[in-house]
Amino acid sequence: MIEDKLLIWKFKCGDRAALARIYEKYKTDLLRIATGLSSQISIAEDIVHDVFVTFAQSSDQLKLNGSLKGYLITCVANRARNSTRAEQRRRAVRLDETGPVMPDSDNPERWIVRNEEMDKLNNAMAQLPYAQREVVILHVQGGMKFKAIAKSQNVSINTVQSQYRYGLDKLRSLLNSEVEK
Amino acid sequence: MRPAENMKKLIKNVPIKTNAERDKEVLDDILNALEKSEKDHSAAFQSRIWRIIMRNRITKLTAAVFVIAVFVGVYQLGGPRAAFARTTRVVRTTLADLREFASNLRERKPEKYIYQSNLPPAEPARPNPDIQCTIISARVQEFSAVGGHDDLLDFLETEGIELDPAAGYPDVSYARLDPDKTEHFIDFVDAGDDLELKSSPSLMLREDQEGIIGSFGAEDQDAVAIALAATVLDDDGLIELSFSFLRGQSGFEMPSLEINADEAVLFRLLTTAETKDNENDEGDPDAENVIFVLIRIEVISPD
Repeated sequence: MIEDKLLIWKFKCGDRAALARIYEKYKTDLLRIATGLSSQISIAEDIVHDVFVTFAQSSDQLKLNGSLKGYLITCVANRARNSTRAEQRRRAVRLDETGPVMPDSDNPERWIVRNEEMDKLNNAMAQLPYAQREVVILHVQGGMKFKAIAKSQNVSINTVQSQYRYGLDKLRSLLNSEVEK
Repeated sequence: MRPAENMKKLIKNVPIKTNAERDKEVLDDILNALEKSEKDHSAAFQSRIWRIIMRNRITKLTAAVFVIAVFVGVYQLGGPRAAFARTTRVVRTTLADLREFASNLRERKPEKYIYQSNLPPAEPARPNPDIQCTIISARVQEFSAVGGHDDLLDFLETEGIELDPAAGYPDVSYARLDPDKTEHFIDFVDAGDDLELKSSPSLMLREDQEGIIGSFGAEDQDAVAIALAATVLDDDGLIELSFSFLRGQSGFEMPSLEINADEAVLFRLLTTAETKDNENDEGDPDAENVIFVLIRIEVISPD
């Protein structure tokens, strides 16, 4: 915790090494979360890239009341939510033109290197309603407390807990063989 | 293991690998964004500080926080060593004065007056330092109880900063910084090859006024650690020191720093002090009064 505070302070002083350290420290977690939330690797990469770039540009205005990790995860979640809404709107407008969301093809130049386990989980995640997916990912992968998730989504903690339970149940049925291993 | 736990484990441990080349490209984008942002904002920095001060002056809330600027002109006749000794004496004496001065701040009114220093008489042919104190603004700020003392001690230990007990003050320690550790400190703060300094006491003050330091919650002593870390040299020839006085039930704790002899030449000492009083704790035995003293020493002559 104190390391993050010092990193933030150094970053706010314009220290490039501190920013690079923050990036190295949290990029994997953020990519994992963004991939789960967006279900598409290309979108997840854009989200995390944009979050870090915006973070870098905010050095003089940044105000952190909680943890750095929590802040970055919330940024990713907000962007993923906006991206999902935009995607839903696009689909509603072009219903006749758009097919199902296809997973990204393998591309050696991609930031995230795909693997079978990740694809399996993301396919299952994509079948959850977005609200359930977000709660499950933020709680399990992001380590966020239900209370914090409820606050960030502006819903009650009971709602968040219900979404979590429903989400886990549905995932369990979708990934039954994996879970029983 | 229960299925729910298996499920959580599966989600949590989903492997993710990244392409190293893309990693570097993204990092370059991020660092470029930082650089561009700094260029855009640097011009607006000074005017923003002043706006903050002005806003607080207008606000004038109930309990008072005084921001004091003390200008000390220090004139040097001897070489760097003599200047170093002289500067160290000035800093220490000024700090001691300020401690006493700040402890009575609540009884003072926010108006201009001359601050009487206890600086030792100047040596022959050396003019007395002119010390003038002006209260710039008064405002209110609530402040939580001081905590995180262990964190501070850990920090000092990790960074190799030795604590010396202060004579006459059993609860006071000095954090001593020798030239070797100055290097370490600079490295700690900047981590770069050059000593380009982006922070200043003004920045600390600004952050504090906007609640950044205060928002550290129960670990307010982190602010002390960070203030200590602000002691660096920049390429404009500024030596910048930040001190925080913490006045709690156990008395003052006064981190202090010595200046690298090689860098001590001719200085103008600018001291900015700010108090924060916990007036809303209604008899809370843990209530603490916190005084931040931010000091800036400007090198007038680098020769």
